[in-house]
Amino acid sequence: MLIYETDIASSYEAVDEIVPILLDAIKSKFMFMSDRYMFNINFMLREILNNAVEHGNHFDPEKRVHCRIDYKVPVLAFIIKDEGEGINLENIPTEAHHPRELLRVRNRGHQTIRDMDFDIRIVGTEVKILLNLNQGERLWKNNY
Amino acid sequence: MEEQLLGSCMRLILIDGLTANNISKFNTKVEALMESDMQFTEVVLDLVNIRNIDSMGVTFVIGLYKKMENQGKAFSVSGASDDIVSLFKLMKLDQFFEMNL
Repeated sequence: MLIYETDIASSYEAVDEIVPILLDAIKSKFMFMSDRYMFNINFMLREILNNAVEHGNHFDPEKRVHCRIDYKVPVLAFIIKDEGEGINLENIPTEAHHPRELLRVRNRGHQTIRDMDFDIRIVGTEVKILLNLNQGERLWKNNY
Repeated sequence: MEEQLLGSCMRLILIDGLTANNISKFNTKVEALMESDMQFTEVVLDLVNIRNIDSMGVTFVIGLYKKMENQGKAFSVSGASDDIVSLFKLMKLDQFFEMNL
């Protein structure tokens, strides 16, 4: 089931404008969705869309970021595609081992999204984020 | 961002979302504050109005904390929602500065 599909300009302002619309579309289909789920989806969408705008399209006004949200029981899928050259997975840091490393300037978004129990799959310029709604919020909250 | 100087405590109250589209103007405001004549020994970042946050917003908070630490000033966050407090705990950032309700 298609929840929403659109494309946006390559700017942070465009991301800030579209995210509330995407959240409303999700909430209208999944009224049971808790505030914590919605907060995490809000954070995740901003992270992936900002990355597409900045690292994918390099803020190029000629390039667009495509965003599609699908639901196939029990998984909510967010598919974000930019017009860049793709992501090198080896360049994305995961766990920080030294406490001060937690204060690094950037590169904490993907790890945080994984910690929120989203499944991230990257193929070329397409990032697919999966959220299994059957996993239960109890498990999710245990991670906090 | 609004500034309130109460004694030696500078309270920075965020009005707009702690999101990528606002970070540049927040940084400009902080730079201006640092260069001003105002005297303070403590900075409190008030997030009571904030519902939206992204990793660049988190980076802004960390940057502000580091600036204050380098200048020997105390730093804390206040008024954050349960969700934002949970996010900072998830990122293990609560060990560096206080987060008060």
